[in-house]
Parts: sequence; C-alpha cells; structure tokens
Amino acid sequence: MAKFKLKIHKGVLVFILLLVSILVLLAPKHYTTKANDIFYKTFAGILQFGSDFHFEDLSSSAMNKRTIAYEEYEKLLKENQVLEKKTKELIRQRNKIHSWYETATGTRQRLPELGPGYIWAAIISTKAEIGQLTIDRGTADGIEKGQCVIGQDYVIGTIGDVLGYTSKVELITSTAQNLLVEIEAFDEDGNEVYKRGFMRGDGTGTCKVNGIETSYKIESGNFVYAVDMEGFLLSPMIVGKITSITYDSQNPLFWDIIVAPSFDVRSLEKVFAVTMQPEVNK
Amino acid sequence: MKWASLIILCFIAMILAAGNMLNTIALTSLFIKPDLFVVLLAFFALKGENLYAVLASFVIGLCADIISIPMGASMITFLLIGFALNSMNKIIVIKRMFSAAVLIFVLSLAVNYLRSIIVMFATADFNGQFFIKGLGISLYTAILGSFAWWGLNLASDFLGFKTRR
Repeated sequence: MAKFKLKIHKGVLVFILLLVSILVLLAPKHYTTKANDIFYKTFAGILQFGSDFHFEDLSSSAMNKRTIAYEEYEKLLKENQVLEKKTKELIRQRNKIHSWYETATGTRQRLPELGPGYIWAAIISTKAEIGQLTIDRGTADGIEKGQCVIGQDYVIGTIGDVLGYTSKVELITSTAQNLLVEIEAFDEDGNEVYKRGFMRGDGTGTCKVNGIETSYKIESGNFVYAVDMEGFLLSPMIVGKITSITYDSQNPLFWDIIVAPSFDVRSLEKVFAVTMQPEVNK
Repeated sequence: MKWASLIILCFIAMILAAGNMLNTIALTSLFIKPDLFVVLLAFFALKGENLYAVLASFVIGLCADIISIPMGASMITFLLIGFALNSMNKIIVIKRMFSAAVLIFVLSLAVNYLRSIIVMFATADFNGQFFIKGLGISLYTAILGSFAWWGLNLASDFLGFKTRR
C-alpha cells in the first residue's frame, strides 16, 4: 500500500498554520487556557518532582550541617517544645488583648486567623524567572483573580490567571504585579506615618516602589506591608524589606525604593489563597 | 520521520520545562534555564523533509504553547523560524558540536526575542529584562543543546531520518 504523502505547497501550508496560530493567539483566553489547565492538572505529580532538591544542598558544608549528634538533637527538641508552649501562651494573650481592644474601640484589629476563607494549595510548578507559580486550585475551589496568596507567613503575590482546576500566582517579583503597599516613614515634623505606593516586580527577584515623596524620611531595612483591602486581606501583612533607597532618576522629588521579598521562592512548597470572606462586602 | 518519536521528545521537553526539575540547574537570580524546544526545533527543522519539517515546527510550537500563556505566540514563532531554517537546510550542514552550538544560539536568540515581542503585543506587558534574559537563555541552551544535538544525531536512524552517505 502506498505511503500517504501530503500534496500541498509548502508556502500554502505555512500560511494556513500561521493563520491558525494567529487565531489561537487572538482567541479569548477562557478557551485557549483550557489546554494549559488540563496539562497541569493531569501531570501535577510529575511536575512537582524535584521541588525539594536544591543544588546548593550538595556542597560539603551543607551536607555536614544536615546531621548532628543525637544528644544535641534531643536537647534542641526539648528547647523547641518549651518555645512552642511559650509561643502558644503569647498568642493566647495577644488574642485576648486584641479582643479587649476591639470591644473598647469598636474597630477591627484582629490578625487574620485560619478558618473559612483560606484555601491550602500545593505548588505544581515554579517559574521563578518570570515570577510565577502554578497552584492546584482553580475556579472549582472558589479561587478568583486578584486574591492574595500567602506563603511562609508573608504575602507572596496575587492570583493572576484562574483556570478550572489550576491557577497562576503572580509573585510580587513579577513584572505583571502591581501591588498597593505601605511603608513606615517619618514626615517633616518627625511623626510616624505609613506611606502608600505601588510596588512592581522588576523580574530579577526584587521589587520597586515608586510614588513616595522624598519629603518623607524612610530607612533601609524597614518592612513593606501589603495594604489591607476589604474582601481581600483583613490586615496589613509583610511582603518584604527595603534594601536600597535612592532618588528616582526620572523624578528626584520621589524615592526609588528597592524591596527584597521576605519569602524564599525556591523553598515554597505549599501556600494558601485568601478567598473572599462571605461576610465582608465585595 | 517518525511522528511518535517527535511526540515523545516534545512531551519530555514539556514536562522538563513546565516542572521543577530544570529549576535545579537554573543560573543566577534571573533563573536562566535552557530552552529544550529550541533544540528540538533546530534538529527537526534542519533534518526533516519540506512539509514534515514545517509540521514538526508547528507541533513543537504547540507543545511549547500548551505550558505557557498566552497561547499562540510560540506556535507563530516556531513555525516561522522552522520554515526559514528548513529553507536553508541545503546550505547549513552541521558536522561538529561547535557548529550545532552556534546554530542553537542564533535560533534561541531569534525564538526568544520574536516570542517576547509577540507576547508584549498580545498582553501589553513589557518585561525590561527580556534582552539580558534572552541572551543568557540562548548561551545556556547552546552549551547544553550541543550535547543534546549530538545525542539526537546518534539516534537519527531511530528517529526516522536517513543518514546521508
């Protein structure tokens, strides 16, 4: 039987395929991202392989630090258990003071607590070079675009594209991220204020904050907080620390602030997404 | 040309590119990783016959698009560059690993920059680091890709390419 041979001019084939590609590019994302969603959901197990391994762990100094004598391990374990008890007691006292404060002032000051409104998600793949993660939760789990994502006790980013069963997290270091943040500053009279500005990732693992006037004094090493937003985040949470402050080269009346994220993207394994709280107005 | 071997190689490239395994060999704070799809494009576009090389380039671009957003940018890029490369397959003869590295470097530059431009037009999102990242990715891909090319060349018969005598 003769082998099937394609009888079409090469240029015509290229034209047809180019047309198809352009149509796919211009098609609504809702349809074209289904393939992306299905792929990540189907192969999540294989894609996660290798996330625990770090090249620097192979160095001899790192290997030596991994094992310690059993007696020292026992000693550290006991100290850890004592510290855990003390931490729990301090948290209990803090919550008691917060409740009292809320009752006395009639305002909400409680720190976010785990409960309905938070969804744990595993990281399927990490694309640190573009500041993006793929997590195994999507619209089927109540995830929506713009929701905050928390990892290692810091805000690490927000939900970008949401698919049926997976979502993309735009880290704060992504160039697509534009997060409203606040920084501790001092005005001309020496009063402590929290200045707000937009923080944008620069694609190299750090972020930049612009729009804060140089009339406010800001110090390197200060924490940067994601602003609390109704329906998204109950209270400000740390996103990073200031590493450098210079005058903006394009507008010297404003600061050019470089922020290093507080989380380590390579060691992130699980995160949780702050989903909309039903009792808070959207 | 055996389509099954192309699909299997594309699948392996998809798993490596989309997963975390390549993160272990990523370099610098820019997390530069080799682009495996470019190596496949270089091999199949250069070695394949006219129409099948064009189709293979399209399929490789499709596989690259499945693991990225927006879909379509890689399909356009790989199709155009694969077509151009296949048109020159009588002029370009790769006999040494160094030649393969140079070819992969040039291809990777073209693919990365063209794809970045298309994505910028499609999403209106400008990445100021794309020039440096593209250069880094191309260098890294060229170095590792030359070894992959050597391996693919050894398996030419299995992949369905007749070796010229």
